[in-house]
Amino acid sequence: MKAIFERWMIIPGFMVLIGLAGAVYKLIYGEHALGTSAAVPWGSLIAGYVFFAAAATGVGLIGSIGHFVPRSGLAAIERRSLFLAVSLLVPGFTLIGIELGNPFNMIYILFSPNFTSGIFWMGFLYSIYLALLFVECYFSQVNPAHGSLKWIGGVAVLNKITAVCNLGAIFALAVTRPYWVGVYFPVYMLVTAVLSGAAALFVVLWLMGKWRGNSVSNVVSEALSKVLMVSLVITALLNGWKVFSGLNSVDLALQKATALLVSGSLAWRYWGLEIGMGLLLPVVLVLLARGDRRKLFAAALLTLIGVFFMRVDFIQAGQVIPQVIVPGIQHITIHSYIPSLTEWALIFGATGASVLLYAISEKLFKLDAEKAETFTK
Amino acid sequence: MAHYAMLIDASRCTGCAACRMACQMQWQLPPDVYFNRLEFREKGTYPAVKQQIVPVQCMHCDEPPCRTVCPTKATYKRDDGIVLIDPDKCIGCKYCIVACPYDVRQVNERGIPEKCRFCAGFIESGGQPPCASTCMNDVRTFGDLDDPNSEISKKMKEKPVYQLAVEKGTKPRVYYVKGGDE
Repeated sequence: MKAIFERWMIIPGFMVLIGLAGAVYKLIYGEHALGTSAAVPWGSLIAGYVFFAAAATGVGLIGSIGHFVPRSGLAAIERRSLFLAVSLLVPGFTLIGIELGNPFNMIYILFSPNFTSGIFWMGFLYSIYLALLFVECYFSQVNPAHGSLKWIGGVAVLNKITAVCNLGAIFALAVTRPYWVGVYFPVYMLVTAVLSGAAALFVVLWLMGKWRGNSVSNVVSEALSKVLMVSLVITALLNGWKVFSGLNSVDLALQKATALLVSGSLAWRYWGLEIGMGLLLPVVLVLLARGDRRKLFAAALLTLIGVFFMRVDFIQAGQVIPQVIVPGIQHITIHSYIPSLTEWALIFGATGASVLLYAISEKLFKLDAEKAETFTK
Repeated sequence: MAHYAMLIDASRCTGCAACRMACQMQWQLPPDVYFNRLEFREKGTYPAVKQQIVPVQCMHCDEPPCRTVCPTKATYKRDDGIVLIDPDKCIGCKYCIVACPYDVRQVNERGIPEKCRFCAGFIESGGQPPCASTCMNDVRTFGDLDDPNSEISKKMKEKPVYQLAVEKGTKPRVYYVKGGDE
């Protein structure tokens, strides 16, 4: 079993090497290494960061359900959720660190904070999240029954909800981008965080179970598939209403951005990857699964890929419609954005790093819960 | 305290782009980075069609969204109204580019989203921004609105003006002369 595990680890290890090559290229060529421009300043690296940060939050929230609602069936994966959240958040932070023009100036977030900036709050809340995760991971190994874990867990829940809603608010408060503005994105970010969190948990549990020669226990599998199904349905509903309201909006920029997704140049990605692969197929697979772990694994994996493209889609759609600055100028084109090879390499690398970090955690730490079973023979 | 602003009479613009070139020379910008640009629009229906040119640059807003969203206060507004960037504080997150309703920021070689500086550091010694002094048709008038004897103050008393994208609540300090071209 050890040999299988180590052989499989070559794949994420190779992905990390590809990511490192991308990071070096970005370091040398700066903005020129990216597909972004002055018209579309945020690209797939921002989408990637949102993907990893939101998934880490979702994983953490599911772990919190296990912590505070033991009957949910999720208590068995509480420790794993902590280590998986770290394994997602650290590559996410690395991704945005590479994307930033001057990451070392981040120190000024401490010395010259701007409390009106969503990005300040994002840095603040996610740094606290990472710190709390480290504390919880530490206690889970050293003293799982420590009394302070209750209030740390409570603070962590509030922190996770505010952090992920604020992540949506960064976009929702950008008044110049009608596709993003409004209450939709903070709520959507929370729901899709839980969606990607449930999917990520199922994927790694299934993979780790394969490597250990076990399968995910019935209780955990059922609980996770319920969370996955509920969040898939809510995401589909939110998505449907966003499209309906967008297409019928009197705001032309919002209408054009929505039309671009539904019937424009982004339609293949929206219908094929985001809706078909990321929502419909997983719903069908979960409905057909009836406890079949392979179908559930496939549903979770497709959901994860779909959610990644959801992130890319909403970030691109929010920026590609030209702003009306001078009245009377009719822009007949849309701004172009094609993710560069460097961006893909970095996303690949971050994904590999997540898998590798989690696999190392499985090897080094005690992640099985005291009483409940995560895997069965 | 001065209250710097710019008045643009777009109806006089020929589209020669000397303003852009002068700015690039002043700040030693590479050819693909520019702090001001010309927007072209058509007006009327055939055969009575006219092309109009509208110079656009940083509006040095009184309520700049780029300052609101900057996580480290790298973007700041001076007491005289000029909006500047402290490159040492900028993390390069590009949120200011996303938030700007005028699309005027561009990332430079150091990863800093740059823009028009109203030639801060140059105008205090009495100079005019090169985009204004270079223009052969006096399209741009730069000056102090707190000085009633300044050229810009006098012109703004004589001519009705408008601003771009006021609905965004930015209170821009670049004004445009009304006159059939707005």
